Amino acid sequence: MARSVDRRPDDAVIEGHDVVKEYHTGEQTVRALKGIDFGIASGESVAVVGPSGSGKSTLLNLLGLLDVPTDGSVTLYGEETATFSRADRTRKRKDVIGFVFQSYFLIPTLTARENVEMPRLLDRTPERTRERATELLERVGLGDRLDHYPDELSGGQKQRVAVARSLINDPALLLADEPTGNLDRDTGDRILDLFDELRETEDVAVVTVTHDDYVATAADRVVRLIDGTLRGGE
Amino acid sequence: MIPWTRLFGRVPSMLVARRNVTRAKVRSGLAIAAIVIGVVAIGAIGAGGAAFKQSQLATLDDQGATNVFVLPGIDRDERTFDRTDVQRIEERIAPAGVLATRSGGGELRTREGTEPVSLTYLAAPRLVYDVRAGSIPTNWRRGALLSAGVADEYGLEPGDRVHLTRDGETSVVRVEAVVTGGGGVGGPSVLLPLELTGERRFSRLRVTTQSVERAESAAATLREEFNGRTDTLLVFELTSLVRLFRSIVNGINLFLAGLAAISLLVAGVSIASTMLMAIIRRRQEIGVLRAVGYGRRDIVRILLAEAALLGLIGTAIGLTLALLVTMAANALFLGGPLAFAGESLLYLAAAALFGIGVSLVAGVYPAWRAANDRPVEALRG
Repeated sequence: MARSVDRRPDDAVIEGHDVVKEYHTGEQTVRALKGIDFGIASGESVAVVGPSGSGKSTLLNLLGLLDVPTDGSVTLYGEETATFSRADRTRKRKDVIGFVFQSYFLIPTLTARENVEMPRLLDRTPERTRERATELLERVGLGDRLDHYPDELSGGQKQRVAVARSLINDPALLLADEPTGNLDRDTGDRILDLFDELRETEDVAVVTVTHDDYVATAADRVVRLIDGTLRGGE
Repeated sequence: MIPWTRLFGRVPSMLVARRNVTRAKVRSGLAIAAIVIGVVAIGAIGAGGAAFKQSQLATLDDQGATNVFVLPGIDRDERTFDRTDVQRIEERIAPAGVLATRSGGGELRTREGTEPVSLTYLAAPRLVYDVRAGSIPTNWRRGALLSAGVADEYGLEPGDRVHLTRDGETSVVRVEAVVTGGGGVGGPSVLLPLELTGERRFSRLRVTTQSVERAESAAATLREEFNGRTDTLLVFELTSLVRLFRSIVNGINLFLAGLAAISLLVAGVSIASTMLMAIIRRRQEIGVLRAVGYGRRDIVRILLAEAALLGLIGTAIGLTLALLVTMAANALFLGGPLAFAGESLLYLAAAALFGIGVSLVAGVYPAWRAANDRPVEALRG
């Protein structure tokens, strides 16, 4: 039954081989990922589906270079991520990866545009950043909400700001953790449509982690994560 | 408002810091208030104390700190000096002048009755006194000089004649001049020529100089020259008193400023706790920053900017208040709100530096902790 579910594409952004991740909680060792293989090609759309506790978040953390595997290898453009220093990982995250979270995680004291600019705020290119942020917000349909603060926006609008933020550094990989989890179906649909559009126009691979099968239907490829192992998708 | 915004635009960590400071208004306000109290305490105590010290020192200078007093030492057989002694002393310490004096009490008879006055016999009044009215005769052997206090009190002028009782005998003496100055030795008194004592010996000598430093060096010279193995002279100068006073006031001032500094340390604790609260409340937010590519150093920078901003605002307000207090002290002690003593400015500067410094130091631990929180954990919340 356990067959390799990945395509191991030549143009892979990030690949994993025999990836194991263990957590230590007190005396116990929890094996969250039990040796999985995966590969994300540039521009593709993958949904990772699984019940809670299946290791989805762990996988997402590894894909997002927020964590390193206990065993096995994760490579970013062929480079082994375990060899990166913490500062390297931070820089790669900034250059390659965009994040969208279930609860948006916008900074309440910054306007929509400032939130989008935020990942690049410390770069010394304020004008270019501002232009790009404005463009992205227009792109996600919030051109008229540039100077609104998060508490003046609806949930869907917040998530669209978050999507715009994730794209500010022109990432190759967009990681979305339950992006529609806090939204009603219509609004969620619009976010998923937005991902599809962006995938084409911005040439970004989108990995969506969800426990919702409905969300998964929007993706090109679905992988199921059950109890730390991958099962084939449709 | 535009340049302000632009300035913050230039320094993005300041933009984030400013927004965050206004976010928890009450907490930020309390932290700022703590800094204000500390800065005002250090600044006002230090600078006010400095103004007080300066005014007291000026008074002491007026009171004769430029004088050195010489009495027969314990190893000297005679309890008085004669003219030869005076000359010997004079030779050593020229160009400072020596004044042989004797004092005593007497009574001045006026229309209202007899009033006790202090009598000072001296040889060369011009060395010490300034003439306000009348003139001191070149060869002064008779007649009295009145200190301004006495002259004013009894409405006396040069040319008046007064009845003066000395050693039980009353004589009529002409007022030659009204004098001021004198290093405050006499206070309100009647000055008489030394000749009138009928003696050639003096119980006390006074060396007058132009400055506190010269008085000090004259005293040192006398001790060196006359007090080798035996103490023939008892030399004392007010400068030593000045020095003592200065060290006492400095000590008290430093002690009080130190107490004030403790209040600033408390302010530091308050900033640290404000920042700790902030990083706990914003844990996920900081996690997001880390996720989107903010390095640990960036996080430290942003949070330190926030702590520094709290300190900066507190210091600015505190310094303004301390400045007002100091100006009040200046007006009270030094005759004008803008008559800043050099030391006052030093205390104010120290208060400002300390205010900002404490805030920065207080921000270090929370910033470090936030920066080292693993983003995976932080995002999980």
